[in-house]
Amino acid sequence: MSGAIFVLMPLVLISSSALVSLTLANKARRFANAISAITMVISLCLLLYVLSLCLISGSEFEAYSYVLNSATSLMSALLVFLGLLAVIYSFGYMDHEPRYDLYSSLLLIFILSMIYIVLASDISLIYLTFELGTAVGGVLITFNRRRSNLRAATRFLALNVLAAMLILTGLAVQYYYVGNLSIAAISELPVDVKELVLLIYTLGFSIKAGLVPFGLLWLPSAHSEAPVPVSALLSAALVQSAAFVLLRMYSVLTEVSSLLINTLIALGTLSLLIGALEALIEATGGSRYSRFHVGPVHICGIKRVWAFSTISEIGYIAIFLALYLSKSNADSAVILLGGALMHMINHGLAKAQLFFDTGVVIRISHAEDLNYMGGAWRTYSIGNATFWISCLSLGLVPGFAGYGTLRELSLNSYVPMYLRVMVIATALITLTAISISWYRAFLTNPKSELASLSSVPKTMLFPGPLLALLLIVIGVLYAYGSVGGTRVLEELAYELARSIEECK
Amino acid sequence: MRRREYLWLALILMIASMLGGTFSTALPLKLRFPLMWLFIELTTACLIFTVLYISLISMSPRRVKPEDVFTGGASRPPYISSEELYSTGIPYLGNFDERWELYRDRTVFKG
Repeated sequence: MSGAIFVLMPLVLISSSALVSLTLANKARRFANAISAITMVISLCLLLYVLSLCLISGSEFEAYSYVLNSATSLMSALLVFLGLLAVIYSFGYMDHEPRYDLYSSLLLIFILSMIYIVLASDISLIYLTFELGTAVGGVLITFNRRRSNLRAATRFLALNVLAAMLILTGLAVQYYYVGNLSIAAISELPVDVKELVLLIYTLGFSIKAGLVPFGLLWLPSAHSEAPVPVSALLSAALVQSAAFVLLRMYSVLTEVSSLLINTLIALGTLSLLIGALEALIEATGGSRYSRFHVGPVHICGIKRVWAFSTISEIGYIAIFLALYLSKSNADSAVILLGGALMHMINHGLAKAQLFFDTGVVIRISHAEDLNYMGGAWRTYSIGNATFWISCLSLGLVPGFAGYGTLRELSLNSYVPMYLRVMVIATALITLTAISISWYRAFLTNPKSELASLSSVPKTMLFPGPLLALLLIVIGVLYAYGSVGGTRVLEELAYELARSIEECK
Repeated sequence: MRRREYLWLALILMIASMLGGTFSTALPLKLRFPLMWLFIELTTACLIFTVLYISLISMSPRRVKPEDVFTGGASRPPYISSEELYSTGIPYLGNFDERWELYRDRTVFKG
């Protein structure tokens, strides 16, 4: 009974607030905004409560093919938290929007779809929820009202329909052989069919997760054309939920062929390097050289830098997954799975922070093209610091939240040498790309008269610093957080990974 | 206000897609013919593209005042570009916002 309540509560709360927003947001905006924020806060508290129950007593709740365990409740709480910040950020950022009612309700449905992708234990439900997220996301991308928005939305929809076709093919084959569409049923497939089905699912979810080569086709354009809160959610939440599905799918398997492992390593390493290099090229030379741009003029898009960096960050998760599958020792395998989850948390917080603060800098400097930005430190000095925290965290620098990824992937002896070199190179390239973007947006001479910080809505000013603060806390916990000789975050990662593995 | 005229169409589409969605998910399972999902997916995708990008746009085209266009370029560019001629605004949002078309605020960065 409590499982059903826990599973249904976010659905009831957030969908009703979406309805309230659709009907009232243009007439009584403050009331509708308050309802959205309150329902999101209640959903977040509920998921954190479930998380605490799962962690303390090892409970697991299940209802209607949705599962709430340590890992799924933590991921859904992260998505709700980022969604809450995006909703609050939108109060000011989209204040001028005449169709605010449509925007706010779609944003809430978009958040809702991501929560239920993470919770579902049946692939057909994951597919249906992804379709909802795709349809809503495609519309949300167009809210900047540029012609290029339509082109970006079309690419987003076309690639995601292709992904859906692949997932459906996998579903059809799985259903034909085992008559069951749950994630756990994959392990019941005949060996040769299992490989084929997993390959199809991997390709399908790779498109949605934005891995190279598919991600290059839709991710930079969609992330850079969408309004800032939507970009933040696309980058920090949607692609991660696709990667999380891959994680759950592979965690039920006891034996995986080398073909699948090599496919994951190939997709992961290509994404790592190409994503990071493209981010660097975008930050220096712009879209003329980095390509995959849908706008009428070439730009050095700051949001495009973050988008390319997202591709590279998802590459880390694919590498974690491949190493997890190839590891014979169960304990170190679980550590790798936990490492992937911790990387998702780090990337989610850091990328959302970068997008939210970028929105403020765009407002101040009247441009989202680095060629026309500059001098933002004069009015937004706190952003100067928070940018660096995310930069160091995504650069996997010791003392920051991302360091765990570097430690697992480059300091462990069981990781092949070429992968270690690639991980360190990618971290350095990412660090350079973000530093150059920061330098061009904050330190170069202003290209126009900068707007004052007071002209930026208050609701846009706190999500970035709040996320930066969280990144510092996680970084400190990584470095010093130990109770009775046990490292808190390592223990948490281990527990999360174990809950995914046990969720058959 | 013009877009409100098509509210009935949106409502019909919404109800039809809800019913269609419910049956189309259940039917392949009932018939033990899961490949049907593929056809449903293709049809749905085509329908979304058709409705969003063709039907709604052609039903509520962007209004261009001829006198604004053909004034020798005094108030607007002297002719309609091919893109402008064929693009008719975003169906559910109305017209395009020209201000940020070039990724910078045109009112601040003139020229």
